[in-house]
Amino acid sequence: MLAGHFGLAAAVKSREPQLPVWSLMLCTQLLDVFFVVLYLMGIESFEPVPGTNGGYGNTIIHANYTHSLVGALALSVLAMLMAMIPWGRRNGLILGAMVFSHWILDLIVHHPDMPILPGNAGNLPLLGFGLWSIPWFSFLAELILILAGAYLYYHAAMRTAVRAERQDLKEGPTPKAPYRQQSLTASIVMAVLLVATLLGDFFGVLA
Amino acid sequence: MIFIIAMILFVVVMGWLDARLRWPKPKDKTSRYVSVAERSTSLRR
Repeated sequence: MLAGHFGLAAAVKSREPQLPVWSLMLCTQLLDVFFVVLYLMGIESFEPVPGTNGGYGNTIIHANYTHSLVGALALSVLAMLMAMIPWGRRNGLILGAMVFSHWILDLIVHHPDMPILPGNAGNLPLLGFGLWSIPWFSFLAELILILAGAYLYYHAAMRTAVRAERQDLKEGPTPKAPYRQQSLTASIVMAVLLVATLLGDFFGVLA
Repeated sequence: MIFIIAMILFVVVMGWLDARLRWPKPKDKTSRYVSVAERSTSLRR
């Protein structure tokens, strides 16, 4: 899942407009960012589900540190503390929750490959509800998430544009910038990128 | 590799487009209440 995490970031942006969208997107993907680093270091890995070619949903991920429950909580707290310094406690809490949302969404779709403790210490049961076992259903759920995110982002962006126009019209004869056009452009690009990311993931282009 | 590039591109492009809009800043005091009139106006226009 890649697009679904971004879809959630877009949805949260509509409710928490004070947070830059890049920060929300980065936080929703932070576990995967660390996964890529550990993958390049040879510490974490992934492999196709036996009997498949490893396409959409057919991957078992050995992310025993970044995607363990405790590891995800630790990264969430780290992100929360780092965001609190410049942006305050509330924004820090939101961004920390965004980091952990990755683990929650992954828990729903992953095959049972997510440990509780880092390094799968104690050989506790691996977690994952396995929605990826039904690829079309997983795709549908992700599609709904990104469409909802794009829709909510569009409404928030247009509302912001209208507010900005009104503010400018109080101070002068015309708005200082084409706010609605900018909002519409950002919303369209958001929707296109979300759908393209989902399709790329589904058809294995992003493998 | 394509996965990483796609992820970075998405964040950079959307971050740039989003930054051009006049959102409140992270340290701003924001009112989360949106009146019905304002909501309908923004939708209509």
